[in-house]
Amino acid sequence: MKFNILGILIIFLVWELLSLFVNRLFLPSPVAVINNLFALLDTPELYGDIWATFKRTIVGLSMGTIIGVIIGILLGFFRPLYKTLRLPMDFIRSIPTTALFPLFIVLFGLGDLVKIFVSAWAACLIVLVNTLYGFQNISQIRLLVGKLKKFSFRKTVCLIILPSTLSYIAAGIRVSLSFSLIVELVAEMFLGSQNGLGHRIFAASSVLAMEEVYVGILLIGFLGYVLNSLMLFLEHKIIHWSGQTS
Amino acid sequence: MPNLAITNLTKIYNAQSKNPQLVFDNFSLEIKSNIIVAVVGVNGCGKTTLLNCLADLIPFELGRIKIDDKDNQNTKIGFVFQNYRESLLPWLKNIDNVACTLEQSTLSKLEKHVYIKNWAVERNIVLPWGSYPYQCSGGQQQLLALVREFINQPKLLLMDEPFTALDYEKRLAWRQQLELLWQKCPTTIILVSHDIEEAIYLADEVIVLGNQPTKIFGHYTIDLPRPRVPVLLQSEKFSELYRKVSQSFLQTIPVL
Repeated sequence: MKFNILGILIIFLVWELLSLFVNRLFLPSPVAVINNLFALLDTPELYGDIWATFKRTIVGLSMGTIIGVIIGILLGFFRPLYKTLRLPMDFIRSIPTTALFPLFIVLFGLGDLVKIFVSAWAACLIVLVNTLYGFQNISQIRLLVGKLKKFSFRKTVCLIILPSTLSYIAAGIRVSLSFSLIVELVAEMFLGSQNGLGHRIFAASSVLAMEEVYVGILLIGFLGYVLNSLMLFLEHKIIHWSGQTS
Repeated sequence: MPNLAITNLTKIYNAQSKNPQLVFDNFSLEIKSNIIVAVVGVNGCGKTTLLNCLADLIPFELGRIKIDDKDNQNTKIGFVFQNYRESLLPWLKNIDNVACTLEQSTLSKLEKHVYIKNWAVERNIVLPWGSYPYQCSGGQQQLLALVREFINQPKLLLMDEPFTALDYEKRLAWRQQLELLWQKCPTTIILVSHDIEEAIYLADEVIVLGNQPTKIFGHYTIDLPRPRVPVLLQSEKFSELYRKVSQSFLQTIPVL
């Protein structure tokens, strides 16, 4: 805690010093930015923007995760299907989601749907690969236990496969989290958004309200940090057995 | 009447390929009810293949495996793995580890818990049911892996070298635990081992298997009194049996 506070203080000090020598337009002083932040905290629009970004990222991430896990497990079960789809899948994964934005606009328009979809798309591809990877690392002995005890398909998935892959899935979700947030913000900037932190930053920069741009950036950093901590907390609670010897 | 009868078992690996590997060629064996049989042999002599055939984990080309006059596919068979720790599910509490493989599937979850706890109390088995396997000692994990099998009253219990990964003194304790549980819930146990001392110590009969195609090199009756205690290891009788079994074990090794 002591070191955390020290770290933050150092960053602000360096920032303050830099802002003395750099054009105010590019780098406003932290004090001005903080003042701006407190002023904005009184306006309901700011909370609306934070909520909009948070909601779309989380909804997209959840949907992408669910679909990714389902496809991952299916591909894990049916090796021929996986072998057939590996090349096209790797190809699609290599395309940055942002390159597909024009296509998504045509498909889904400019509403909320497209912004949830991009975040889901980014998450799905990462979670899918992680699930597959987890599937390949399931303990053969545990699978044999299921076979010997004549577990049904459902029981095998729920009691052996899903829990075994869970820590891989969780790692996938944490990586996807930042990716979902990135594409979400870009989508808000360029896909005709009326709200969200991405929209706010973009709008502020177009009228050169730099303090507000920095407020937006700080808030996004804060949001990303909170989401990541939340995930870590949940991971720890749910996957209690991970890292235990045995 | 024998409990387990293997008749004319033939098992070929890679039967379709250019170099098929004949593991069992007309292999027959009969084992009486409710005894412990230890199967010893060098690596690659077909011990594990035998277990896998018995447990119906792999198919075989010819022959029959009958347990109490029923095909092995239709019989309750228990299996304790070499790595019994890994065979437990760490995301389930101890009690649910037993409950999820309990065969009384008509019971509700709560009824299963009651059944398991009563079963254990009647046999003086104490386990921390509400804990997770990784919170338990090695001995408790062992016991849990055994309870999970014994509670289903299998007609046949297969064990694939369940002691190999342990220190000597822990192995002694684990042998005791197994014998105690087996006396409370009798069943036929086939224990695969490559440790002759362990085989003699635990078993009523020791079978020495030799190389492919698998043959029986020796079949010994171990008439040591039960319960077996560590002091037996120093007895003249034990040494004599050890001499006999190791002699036939050494015959199975082609070049030495």
